[in-house]
Amino acid sequence: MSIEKSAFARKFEDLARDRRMTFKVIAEQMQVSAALIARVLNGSRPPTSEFVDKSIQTFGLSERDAEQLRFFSDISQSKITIRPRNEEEARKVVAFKRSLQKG
Amino acid sequence: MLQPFPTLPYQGLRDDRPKRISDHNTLVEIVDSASELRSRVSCSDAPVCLSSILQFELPKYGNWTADDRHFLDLQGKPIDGSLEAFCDFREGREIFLREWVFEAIVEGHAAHGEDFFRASESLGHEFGHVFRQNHKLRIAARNRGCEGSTNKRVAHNRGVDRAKDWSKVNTENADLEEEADMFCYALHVPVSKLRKSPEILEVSEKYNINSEMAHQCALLAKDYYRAKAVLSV
Repeated sequence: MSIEKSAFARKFEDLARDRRMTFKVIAEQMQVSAALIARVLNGSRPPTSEFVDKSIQTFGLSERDAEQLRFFSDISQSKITIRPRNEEEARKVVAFKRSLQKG
Repeated sequence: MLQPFPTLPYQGLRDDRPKRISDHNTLVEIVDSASELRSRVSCSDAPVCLSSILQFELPKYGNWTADDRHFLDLQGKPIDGSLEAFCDFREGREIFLREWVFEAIVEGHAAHGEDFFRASESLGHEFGHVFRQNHKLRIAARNRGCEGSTNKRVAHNRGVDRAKDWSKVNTENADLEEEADMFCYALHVPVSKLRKSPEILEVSEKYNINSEMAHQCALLAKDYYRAKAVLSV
């Protein structure tokens, strides 16, 4: 049994550690509960865009770092929904899904 | 020439425990390493901030997660709530907490009352498994090739009967569990710095712990000074 944290969780913890901000202070500034932070960090709740925006604000991230955090949030989602606009896009999505499943 | 036995803190404290499993050297080393950890998060004479240790010190030694999904027994059924935290016993690097334990540690006594004390004790105990290198090596050596988390079972047995007397608990890792307890008590109260015998209630209020743990800290202080005196002769 080992702990595998998402890219977002690892980055979030690194940012908190670099800034010496405790989870209590972070939760207060983000106006979220410690429970929500726990669930985002353990991966049972994917980070919402609101959560990511509040994190960016709380940690005072530059545009470049904010973009990186958004990217980590995107790749830390357990489910990704894609709505193809036409048949051609649907074909591409299905082909991509199959290639992932094969790999 | 015989030296007079020094006056120890809590010399007159009622004490009907059996002998500790750990020897004097181990006890002194545990208390000193817990004191050193306390000083690293700058709480020399204040309640220890376990949340800071979790965030800023633990990553140098291991990982943690607060996730109720890990609290399943070997058949995959949820373990009852008495198991609050456990440490991966193959390497002693991973600490698993129940989500409410994390919340209580972060939000504090004012928000969580008695639960905060239980959470503090559980997390402090798990720190005792992770922060000492020779302890981790013994964990790894004993559990080589073990697929399940032995400690989860041990901790669960303990959770059902919160016995402080490890000599009565039927487990081959009783010595490690006792060491983790001692580390926890020394982390909460700087027992090596006690020069007199403050009242249990006073200790409990000053260091934000319950009176049961304050009593255990007093017994540890007594044993620590005795061990130091014996080792110095």
